[in-house]
Amino acid sequence: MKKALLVLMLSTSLVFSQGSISGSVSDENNNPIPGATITIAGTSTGVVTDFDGNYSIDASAGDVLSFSSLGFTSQNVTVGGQSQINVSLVADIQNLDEVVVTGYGTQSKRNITGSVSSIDSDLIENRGLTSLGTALSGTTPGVFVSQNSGQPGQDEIAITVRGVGTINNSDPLIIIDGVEGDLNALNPNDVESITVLKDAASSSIYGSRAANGVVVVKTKRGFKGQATTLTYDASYAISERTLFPDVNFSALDNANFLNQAAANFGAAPRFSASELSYISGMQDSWIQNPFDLAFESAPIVQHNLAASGGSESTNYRISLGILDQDAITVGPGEYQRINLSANVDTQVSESISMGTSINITRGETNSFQGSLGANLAGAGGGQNLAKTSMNLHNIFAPLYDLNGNYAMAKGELVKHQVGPGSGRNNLLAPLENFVFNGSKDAILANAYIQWEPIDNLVIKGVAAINTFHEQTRYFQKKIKNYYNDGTFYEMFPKRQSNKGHLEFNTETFYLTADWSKDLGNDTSLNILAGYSQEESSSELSGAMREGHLSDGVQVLDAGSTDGMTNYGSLTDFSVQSVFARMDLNIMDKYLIQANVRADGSSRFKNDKWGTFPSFSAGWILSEEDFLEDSAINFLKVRASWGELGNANIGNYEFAKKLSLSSAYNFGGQLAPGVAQTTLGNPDLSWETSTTTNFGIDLLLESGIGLNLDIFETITEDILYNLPVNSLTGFTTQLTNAATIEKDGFELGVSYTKSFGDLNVSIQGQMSKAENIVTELNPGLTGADDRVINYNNTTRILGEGLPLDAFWGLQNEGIFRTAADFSGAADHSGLGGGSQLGDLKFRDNNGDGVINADDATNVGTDYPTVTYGFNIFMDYKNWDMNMIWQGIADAQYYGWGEIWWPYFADMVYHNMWEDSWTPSNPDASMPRTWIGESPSNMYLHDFFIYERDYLRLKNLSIGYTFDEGAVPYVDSLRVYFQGTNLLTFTDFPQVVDPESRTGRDSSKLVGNDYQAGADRIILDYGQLKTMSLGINVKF
Amino acid sequence: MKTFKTNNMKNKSTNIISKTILSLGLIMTLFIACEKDFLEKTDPGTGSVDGFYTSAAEFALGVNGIYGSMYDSHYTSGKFWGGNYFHMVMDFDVVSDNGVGQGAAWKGYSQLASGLVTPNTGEILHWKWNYGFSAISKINAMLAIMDDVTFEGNEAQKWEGELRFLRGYIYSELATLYGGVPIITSPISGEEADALTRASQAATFAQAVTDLEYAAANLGLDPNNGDFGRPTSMTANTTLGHTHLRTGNWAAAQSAFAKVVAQEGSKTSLAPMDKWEGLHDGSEEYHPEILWSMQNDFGFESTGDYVSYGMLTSDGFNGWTGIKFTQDLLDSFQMTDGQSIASSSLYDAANPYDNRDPRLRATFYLAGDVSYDGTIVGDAQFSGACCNGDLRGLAEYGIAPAMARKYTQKTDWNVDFGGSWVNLNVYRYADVLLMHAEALNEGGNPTAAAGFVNKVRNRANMPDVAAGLSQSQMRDAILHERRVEFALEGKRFFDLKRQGMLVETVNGNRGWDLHGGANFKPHYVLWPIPGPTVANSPNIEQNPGY
Repeated sequence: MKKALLVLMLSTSLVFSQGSISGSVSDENNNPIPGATITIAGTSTGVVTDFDGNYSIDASAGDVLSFSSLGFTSQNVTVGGQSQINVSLVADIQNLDEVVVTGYGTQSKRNITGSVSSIDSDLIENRGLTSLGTALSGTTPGVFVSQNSGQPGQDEIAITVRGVGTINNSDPLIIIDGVEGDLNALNPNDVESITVLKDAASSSIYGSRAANGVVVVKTKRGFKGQATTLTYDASYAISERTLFPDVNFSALDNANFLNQAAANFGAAPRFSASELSYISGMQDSWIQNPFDLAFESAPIVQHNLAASGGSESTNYRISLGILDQDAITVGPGEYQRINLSANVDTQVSESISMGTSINITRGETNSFQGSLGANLAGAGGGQNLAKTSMNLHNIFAPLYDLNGNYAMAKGELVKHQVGPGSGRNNLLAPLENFVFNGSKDAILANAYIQWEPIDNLVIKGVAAINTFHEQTRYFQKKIKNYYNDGTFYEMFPKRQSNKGHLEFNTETFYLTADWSKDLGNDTSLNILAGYSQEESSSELSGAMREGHLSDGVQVLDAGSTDGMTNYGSLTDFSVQSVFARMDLNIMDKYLIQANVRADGSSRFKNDKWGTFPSFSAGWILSEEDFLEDSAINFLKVRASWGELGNANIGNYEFAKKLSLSSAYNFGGQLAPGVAQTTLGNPDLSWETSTTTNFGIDLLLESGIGLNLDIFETITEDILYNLPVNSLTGFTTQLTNAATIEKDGFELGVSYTKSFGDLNVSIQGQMSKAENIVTELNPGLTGADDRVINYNNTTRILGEGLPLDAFWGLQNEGIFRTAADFSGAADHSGLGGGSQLGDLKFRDNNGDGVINADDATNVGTDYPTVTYGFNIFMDYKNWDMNMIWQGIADAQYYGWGEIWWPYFADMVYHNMWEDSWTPSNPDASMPRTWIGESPSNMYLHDFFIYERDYLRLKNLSIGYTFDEGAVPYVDSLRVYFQGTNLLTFTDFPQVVDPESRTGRDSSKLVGNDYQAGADRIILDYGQLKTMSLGINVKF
Repeated sequence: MKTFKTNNMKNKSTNIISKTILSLGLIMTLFIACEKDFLEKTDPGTGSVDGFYTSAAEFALGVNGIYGSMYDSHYTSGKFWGGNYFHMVMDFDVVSDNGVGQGAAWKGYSQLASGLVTPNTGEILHWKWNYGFSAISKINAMLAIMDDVTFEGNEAQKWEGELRFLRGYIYSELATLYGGVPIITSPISGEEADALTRASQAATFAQAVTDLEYAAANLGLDPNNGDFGRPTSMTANTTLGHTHLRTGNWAAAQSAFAKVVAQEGSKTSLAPMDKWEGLHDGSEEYHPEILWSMQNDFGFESTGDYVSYGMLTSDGFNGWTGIKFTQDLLDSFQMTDGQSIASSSLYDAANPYDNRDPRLRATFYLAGDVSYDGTIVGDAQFSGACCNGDLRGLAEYGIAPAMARKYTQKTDWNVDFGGSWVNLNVYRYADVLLMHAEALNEGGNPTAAAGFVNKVRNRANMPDVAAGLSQSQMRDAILHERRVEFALEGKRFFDLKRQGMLVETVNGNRGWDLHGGANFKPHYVLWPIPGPTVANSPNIEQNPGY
């Protein structure tokens, strides 16, 4: 079906004629295969099957009919005297003949010479996916998807292709139906396939923005001659957090724990004996487990309705998707998304066709924290609930007082400040009263006109818009928190209303001409040439008023004009490109492809244009005679080389920017001011990455398949804020500077076998990608030449080091007895001098003293190895699918909050139960501390944890009713589906191992990387879901 | 790629080429609005230096922007952590015998006292340099474009005077802190920056004097535009005198200070004692006593510095810094008879804060004091202060049970969490009088000095200093007067440095035993040139000892 569809898009001249031969095409289970292609070998004549798998074609005796369809092994039948030929195709998990969508076109997998992976709707549908990016997780070699949050509507999905190779934004380019778009704007159920272009050769047609790989998404379309089909899919899921931190919520235990920490450092006990006794007597009437009060399991409901069909000249698909997801937090928290999509193709005349793809999405959320608009004021604000749940003061008071008001412990009891200015309030007061409302309206639409003036020349023009509006609104109510003596304070003494708006708009136009020529002798040539331009702008505005008279009327107007504020900003960029591709296929054995793209970007001043060429070649050995009778069904070797660009920096970085808000108060009157904020650099230009790739694709007769890719990428002229001579008045300047090398491999294996009615298919994949900074700050001298510390010196960029390495000391265990000090380096410079129970560190520079100079690379938080495997099984009416995903060699730096025994007045993690004391000298953890300790003065590897894990991302079990068993429907399947059901890991039970250190997922590394001070990610947690669903076809 | 054709659809055009060109042209016209300058864009959001300043009004914007960049660390705008030129300037008091920082390492100030300074220590040790040169580059940029801007009357001289005042102030202070620094008086490129070397300390001071003399001659007695916060000729003469004091040019210092003293009356004067506290809590911040201050104000658009001294609140204590004050500082406030607590008969150990110099109670909150909101200072406040437990239990370290009253605003701090809205005083008239006294005394005229010291004392209802003090006794008297008059204002560090007493005084501060002991190394008298500057500047030499 897919292949036929694609073919139709490109060459709309196919018709359904009454021919001399007719018949049907079905799979092994006698299910009809719609959209299968039937061609007469050696000619360009072909037809496709209709929805019921029927076809008819004009053919003569002796003609060889070739039957093919996506996901099936092609089959050739020589026409004899018969008028009816029914064919049953065998499933082909290798999908060699599958046509995958690549840059500005399609290609048969068999003939691809670059490195390309793809998944189709089998791996996308019926998984209850709330966002599309997760479909790639564990299913696509070389592609790693990390999800930092399970918050409805804000999954914080980060996709990386072949690891990270730049300091700047490493997100891949997302192409949806030919134009750049946002994965979150799509309903996963509307997606036909996702293709990932990984090496330079396959992605260089996208030139300047393809250095991080390209994710090409194709949405579902109807096809011509298809009877109208109506499908309805629905699921109901229950979601909950994958885990809660393993902490101790006993008030008395925590008080004793703090006393112990104080005693360790010779300080007076925090809690006196009488206070301990009071706590002991009261604690049963206080909150026992704040997690239970703040979190709950929550439903996720999805409905998808789609109709598709086609006449002889027009095909369409329209769909409606509704997602209604409740937050797992108590209080308001809901995400609703509606997707409308319409795809239409129509043949205007014999040589002209037109079509459109339209996706409209509206998402609405209300939540206790943040909004959909990550760029808007207030987004991400509010409460970090899991963290605030663990604040010590929660367990020193009941939730409500006797009058039913929000209750609060007093600061004197808890021994730290609570209430105004402290951010510490009643657990539920902010949650139930501080509500963000957000919405996002997105339109991703394109229209094309295609003309075939002569045979084998297709000219196509496309216009597209990608636009969205994000809005956020939040209101601070007047909320009273009561102390147990009856006094109270208001969290927000003034009511406040905030409103923000972001308008994003991109317009893209491109024009391609695609010409193919049969050179005879089974050799064909295809040439594509094109022009593209894109213009994008983004505008932010917002306003705030306060002093509203009631909680009921929350609009801006209801607030006072005193102190009201507003803001607005605007930025834009444009890109212009010309590109060309040449494909040469010699006897279906020797494949050669060349690409070139030239891009110009408004982000650069003097050096706007970059040219990015690539070449690739493949040799299908299995077509050679010497392999004809071997056990090898298919064998291809391929090689590619190419250059790509990256301009993922801010707009106008070349300019000497002004801050127009450098105001100053003179005598209490605000006077506007202007100041230069950047040195500018008119000579900025493209980052260039050069990738070399070798690959093998192998399929054995036994059903075993293997794909191997080995690659190396060198990224040069990485744009980086270099330190600059401060005498210029500036300390940094964005410059083309560093070089990073990345290399690795991807291995995919598959096995398909039928055992009677039991069909089994197993696919496994493993990827390894390592990077190293080979050159930093060329032209600089002195200490800055080699290393740059950032993020409070916890991370480093240095020559010879992996990108974004953790920079810290190496521990050698705990000083357990006095004897451990003999021969140890001088630890006296650490937080007042190390004592028994403190960590012992390695004197890496051999100077006899432990200090910051002993720091070294102690890990990175990006996984080196990622792997996954999928198991598909079906037995009669039953089907089962498992997707496992794992990572290895990834580290997590746990500091602050509950990783440390005493930080920010939180309850303690149970791992600290086994901390060193004189009576517990064999403890697993060092002695606890307050304030500054020898154990926390510098980053070190004791708190670096391996976060390797293997996780069952998806399990689904379905039952399909026999045809006709259910009245009125063509087919009916019911299924159970679960997400993140099982996880194997040694990572401590604090945060989900899928979370990286720090919290900003979009910026993986680099000097702009704001990792929320590297603290734990506890905002929302990841979700485990279990759902029941049905698929119905009418 | 394969294309499929059924045989009956072959319909070749007779004029393939023209049809192709036509179609290309058609689609181009339809879809692509080919713009000639498609990739030439100008930033709609922030603008660019190139082409911005053309009129006098825009020129004024550029001058205003220099102040903003010297003094903007508003907490909520995120600039707090990035520092500024005047960031937490009051913390200089922890590098003296007045106070102790909250830890061995805090904002650069604590590192000086505890001996942890390296060229990469950062914070204030880098900020003075980086923001100083950042401001100088902006000043030079504005001076360089003056010829292209049309000004009215003598406006140009006034703006130039203001700009050169700022540059002179910075060079004078950089020379004091770092020794000689590169002298830059016009906009420079990265290459030109790399070629720069350090001028001598004397040449750096000389540059400051040149700028300040121009400013003194061209600025008026009222600030430009009438904007309180811009310098006047009095401000320029004060800084000029201060600079001469730093270089030991007593006669020139006297001459400059005398020009300010000559304006006593309507243009400047000492505030009466009942308004003295108001000079630092916002209520009297525009008093003529204040000759130059960094301006803060309420609200989100405040350019305010962060509250350097934590503030007591009704249920505790709030603020990041845990500066503690020494008993030695409190004890240095004399009795109302002008005697020290050791020698005065008025001193009662049971009520040690009775009958004291009134500036003591106007500088500190002590146990039982009633704060701005009616809170009686007690357990919650003393135990809430960062970071070593109850302030009242630190006598063994010489820490006094006292909290800052000076420079803490009189309002609930949560109202303006972003920072203090109290102006930061750089120079006030009392400073001029005491610096003038110092110049006279060091120039050999202690008798003339006494009059100026007494003026400041009498304002605080304190009796005159004893008559007939020797030069050395007068030096002590001036130093004492400056200590109590300017306690918690960050001036003591510079006073001790001028008198060559910095190393011994800081190292005698027992309070640092809280954080591993005081260890102000002799070479800290000149700060290190920031490490990144030395690393990136081929010809800039580091100060000795680093």
